[in-house]
Amino acid sequence: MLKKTKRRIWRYLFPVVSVALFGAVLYGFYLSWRVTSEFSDRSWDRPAQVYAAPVELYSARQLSAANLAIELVRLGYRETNGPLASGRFRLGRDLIEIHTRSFEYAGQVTAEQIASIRFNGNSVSSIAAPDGTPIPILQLDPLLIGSIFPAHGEDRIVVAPDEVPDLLKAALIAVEDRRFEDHIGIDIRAIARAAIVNLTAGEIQQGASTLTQQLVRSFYLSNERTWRRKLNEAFMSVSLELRYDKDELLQTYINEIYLGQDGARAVHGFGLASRFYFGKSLGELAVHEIALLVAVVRGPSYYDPFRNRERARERRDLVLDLMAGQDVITAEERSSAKTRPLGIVDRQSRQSAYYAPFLDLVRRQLNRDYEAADLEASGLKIYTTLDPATQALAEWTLATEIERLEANRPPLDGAVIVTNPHNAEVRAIVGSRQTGFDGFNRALNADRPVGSLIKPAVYLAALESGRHSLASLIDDSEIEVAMPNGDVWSPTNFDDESHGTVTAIRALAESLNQATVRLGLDVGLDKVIDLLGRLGLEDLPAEFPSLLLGAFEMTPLEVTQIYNSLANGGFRMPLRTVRSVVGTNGETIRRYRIEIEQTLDPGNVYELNQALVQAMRLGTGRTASRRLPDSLVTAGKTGTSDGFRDSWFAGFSNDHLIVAWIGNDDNQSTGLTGGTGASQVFAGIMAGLETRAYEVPNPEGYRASWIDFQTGLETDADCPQAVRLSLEGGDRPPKATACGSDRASIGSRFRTWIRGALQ
Amino acid sequence: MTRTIFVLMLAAALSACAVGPLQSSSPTQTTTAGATSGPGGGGAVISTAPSPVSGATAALLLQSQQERDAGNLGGAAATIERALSISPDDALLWVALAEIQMAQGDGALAEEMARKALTLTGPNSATATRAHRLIRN
Repeated sequence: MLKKTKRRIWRYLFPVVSVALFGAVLYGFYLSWRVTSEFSDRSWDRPAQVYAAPVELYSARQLSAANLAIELVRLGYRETNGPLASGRFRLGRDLIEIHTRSFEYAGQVTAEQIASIRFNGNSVSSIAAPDGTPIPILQLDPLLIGSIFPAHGEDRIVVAPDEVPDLLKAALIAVEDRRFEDHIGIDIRAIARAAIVNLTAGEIQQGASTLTQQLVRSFYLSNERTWRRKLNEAFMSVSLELRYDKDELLQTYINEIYLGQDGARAVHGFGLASRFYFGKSLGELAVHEIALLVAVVRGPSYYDPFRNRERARERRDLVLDLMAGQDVITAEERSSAKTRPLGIVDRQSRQSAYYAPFLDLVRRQLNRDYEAADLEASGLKIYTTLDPATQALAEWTLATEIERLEANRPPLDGAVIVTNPHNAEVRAIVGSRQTGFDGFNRALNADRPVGSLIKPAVYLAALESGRHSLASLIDDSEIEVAMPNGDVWSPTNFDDESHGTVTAIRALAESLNQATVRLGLDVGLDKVIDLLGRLGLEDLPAEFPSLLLGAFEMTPLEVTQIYNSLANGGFRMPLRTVRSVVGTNGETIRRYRIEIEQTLDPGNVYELNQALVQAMRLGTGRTASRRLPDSLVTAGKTGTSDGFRDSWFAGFSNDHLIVAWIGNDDNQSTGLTGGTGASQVFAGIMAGLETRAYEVPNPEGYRASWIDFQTGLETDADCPQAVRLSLEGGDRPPKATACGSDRASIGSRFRTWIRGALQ
Repeated sequence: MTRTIFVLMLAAALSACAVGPLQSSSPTQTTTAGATSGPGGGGAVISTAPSPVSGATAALLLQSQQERDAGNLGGAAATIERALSISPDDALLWVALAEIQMAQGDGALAEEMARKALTLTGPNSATATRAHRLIRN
């Protein structure tokens, strides 16, 4: 009877139990599959590491000892007064002695070396080895500016196993998980202890998470403390332990764990955290700094060293005690580390840590050539053109100028791109006034009306037509253009005045709209558009007369591409961010060589650029030039869109092209012209760069003469309105009889007015 | 030892010819090319300083030549590009790069680079002669 009942119960129960068991096994497989695939995603993706251009030192470089010291600190070199060791330098009067690190650059290994660099004020006077042998050129290890994970879309500084200090591993184990080496993913003893505490308290008070459990938790970004969660976590941890060895687990933990918050950006991994908190690489941290990072693991917000200094310090000292208690450090090391301050960087100086806008362009350029999978699979090294010093200068200048301009205006934002026009290398990209924040990258993505920035294309098309030169006279009277739809377009000058008959050089330098439209219509809209294409613009505007005044949109990146062709004398070169891509074994996978194509006559470009030089001297760029030394000749053009929504400036010296944009994302009026807004950013950056005057030899067949800026007549060099202008042999200005130009009064009236408008 | 001496002599010889044409072309730049108007309309034209980095440039030209001799054309081109990143308007470097492109069989790119070199140097310099030779081929 009893037996029978038992059997009956069993008959009913069996299917239920087997289904439940089957379900549990399936669920177990599912969890195990989920966590191992997550793990392999993260640990086997060796990210591509991206490097800036290396600092090159040579005699006569325009660099002071103080500025080199700043560069060295950025590279993680440390100043010392004691003996030199790799990664350290001594700063003396007009002297830096350095012991460089060994490094690999573009597949070539450079050994560490000791060098004395002598300065003569603002320039390097000599570089020599300890035995006095001159070193003609000294390259330093390039700055790691980020890692690209195309799959995750994040930049993260991921460290390789050999970059992790043993002390960090030992400290993590000592503080977070003493039995890490022995347990199977969960620590039964610790759980038992915690369980007693929690059961007596009636709630979960104490955790006993192993490093493996913490890692699992970080995969799913949840700190929920429920029993179910805990069980899943424990199960997943054990699954991981069965699949991977302890070293792999610890390495992934070190690259994965959450360690702080930087605005909207989560700081994951000790590599990035080390940059974030101390501004240096993980390998360079001292005992007290490692202890602070380990302290932060327990609660990045609660122990935030920026906000809760005291609390963080107490926890750090506790970590040091635990480390000493486990013989990870000696008692002396503990007491000496405890006397040290936190050592965290000043939040302000952390600014240019991420280079996100530049990395955006790197990613875009690489994605043209690679499948995303190739980039993530093989641990590539990507050597780029970024110059960290230029980047820092551009970021700082944009932020400061915007702050100054904003005083009585709606909120502004901006973007800057700096290139070396001769080789088209991008040296810096600023995508927002707020750096270090991954927001909207205006440099690449803000599509804005360009206004007068377009005018050089109109004048260049005019020069190409063979019917005009810069000395040609153009009618600047009012103009009405009949549109295809029957409307009449009547553009006016910025000052609402007509200036009679003007030279082409003046019309461009002073950015006169009426003269420009008349010239552009004479040359032909199709010719202007064709020319824009040859300058490197891919997305060409439609054939409307208003294009002559820039009533169409371009991104700062597109503007940079077309002005690079002007600054480069008529040679079109695709802007470059990547020099080479090197594989894990140091083999060059791809070298991005210089591509260059002459798409414009260098003589015409040479002639045109003279007007852009005059724009800086006498025209719309004057206020910017005032901030530059007289000897630093630059060429540039302002742009202002309708209703003052966009303030643009594009300008260049011999060695740098700078494009700056200021506006607001919601298209409000800024109340700024190109001359009052963006040109100030240009001037601020240009003034801080190591750069030489814009100067190009006369092309063959060009002859220089002095012409009157107002009348275009040939005049004497010492006349007040004289500008030097080189024209092609056949284009000779008519000779003036005397100095005095009868239109000087109009010119001076205009100038007085403009001065007023710009104030 | 003898090898070191040889390399040093080669370096000296090469830097002499490397720097030579540059210096000889500079006066042309300053005289004929009062160039793009100087800052003050009536003021003196500021000349481009003769390439301020000739020591570094010469060393890199030598290195590039050695790489070329060893058959490493890619490395030789990369070295010239490195030199260009510190001295971007050096006509001689552009000609050297053009010659490497030519050796690599890319005559079209070599010609463009030679044209670029011509815009950076006086018409009668030795560098210009080399550039013209490349364009003719």
